[in-house]
Amino acid sequence: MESPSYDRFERIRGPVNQLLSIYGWTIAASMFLAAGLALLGSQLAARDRAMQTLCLGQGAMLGVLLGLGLAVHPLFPLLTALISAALTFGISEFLVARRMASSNTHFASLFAVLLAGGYLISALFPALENHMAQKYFGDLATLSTEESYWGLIVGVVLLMLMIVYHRRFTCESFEKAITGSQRVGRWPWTSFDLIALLTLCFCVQTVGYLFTIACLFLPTAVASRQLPAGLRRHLWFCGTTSAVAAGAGFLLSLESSRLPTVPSIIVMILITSLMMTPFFSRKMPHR
Amino acid sequence: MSHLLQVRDLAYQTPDHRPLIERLSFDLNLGDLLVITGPNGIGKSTLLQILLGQARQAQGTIGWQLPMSRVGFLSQLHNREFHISLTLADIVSFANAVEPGLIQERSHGLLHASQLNLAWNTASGGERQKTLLTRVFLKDPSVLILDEPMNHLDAISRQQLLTALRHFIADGQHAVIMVGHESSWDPLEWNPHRTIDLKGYVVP
Repeated sequence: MESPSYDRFERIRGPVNQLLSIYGWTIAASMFLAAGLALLGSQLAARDRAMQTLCLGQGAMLGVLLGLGLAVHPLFPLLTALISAALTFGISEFLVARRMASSNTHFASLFAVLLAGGYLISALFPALENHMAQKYFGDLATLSTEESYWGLIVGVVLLMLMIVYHRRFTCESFEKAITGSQRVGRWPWTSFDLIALLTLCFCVQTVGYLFTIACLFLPTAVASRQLPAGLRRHLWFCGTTSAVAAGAGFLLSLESSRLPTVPSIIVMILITSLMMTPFFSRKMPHR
Repeated sequence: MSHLLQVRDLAYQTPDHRPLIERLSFDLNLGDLLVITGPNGIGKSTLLQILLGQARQAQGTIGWQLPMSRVGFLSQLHNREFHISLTLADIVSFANAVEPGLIQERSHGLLHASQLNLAWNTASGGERQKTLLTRVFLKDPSVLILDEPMNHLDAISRQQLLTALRHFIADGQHAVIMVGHESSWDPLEWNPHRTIDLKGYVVP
């Protein structure tokens, strides 16, 4: 005869297994994407590019909407997002080139123009109204299996890149922020710029603008404010809290049909990062 | 090879095409400490950018006898705080991995192992400047170019910096070009091999 605790375990295990069989890949994708985005966001924030990233995300969004409106091919929105985000990057860099003063006013203006552009496009293609809300606020539970696979692949690759090159990227961020060094090279973009742009376009197209921006900047904002000094400490904190929060937030939203996935994940990022701060504040070795 | 840099008849202007300096010529040899001085706005930092190939508004010839990868540069601080809270050890490690026990020797006496755990964002101006200079030292450049390195330094730290730079060039395999504001260094104390006062080269 089975014990009562075993029965209870079996009662819980059944639905969890069922949920995992449906959403397992999506949960894994959201966890890896969240961790990769958090590490990328740390570098973007360190380069004082949070406002510029909002603009690039909005530029990608405009491209996605245009691509969906024209409905040429399923991959067309990603292509138009890339073109639009690249143009936005070029314009934003031109606006602030060789200026030492804060660039926020220029970026805020550009953001307003792009926001208006997105709204205009949705007015031109009325069928886009639903897509627009979906792309802004996202819903991870509605990702297709194929999108989840791609999300997982992009998340793993991004995380690996950000871990392997963390010292190089942080050094570049430090040089740029502290000494204001201007890059002199053959190409107008660095490999970091390219990674950031591709990730942003993919994420806005699949998991939405809100999830992307929140994962990029929430963990690093908390880490910068709350943690003692240490590069490894900062990056471990951002990666771990985002991954845990993405998984926990997703499962929480599945438990209740009234809770949307992305806001649940964002609330979990806040709670998890505050809860994990004491643990990450302990002494850590440098290497 | 004792000749590291030969500058002949250099003339340059500001990015908005205002003429600044003309007929500037000088040489830099191994073991040299060269100080460039002059009042604010005369083009000291612009000259360094031109020497480094980062600004192109110049006429004349600049002949480096070594690859630019052998030239180290420390600019003025643009910003004091960094978003990611780094320790001084993190910043030093961007250049080359170095054992904490060796840091004093490799930094020419500027940093001690006990300072490596300090946070960049709360370190003093002097500690920051010494950390940045240590980072450049660890890359072992043949020529070190410094833009107003005495900023934020008190008298003791200035003396430490002078000792470190003298130690750096003492082996006759290195050279230093340093921009110094007139009020921030004492020519008698520093006793450079050559001082270029840009006031003598201003376009009339």
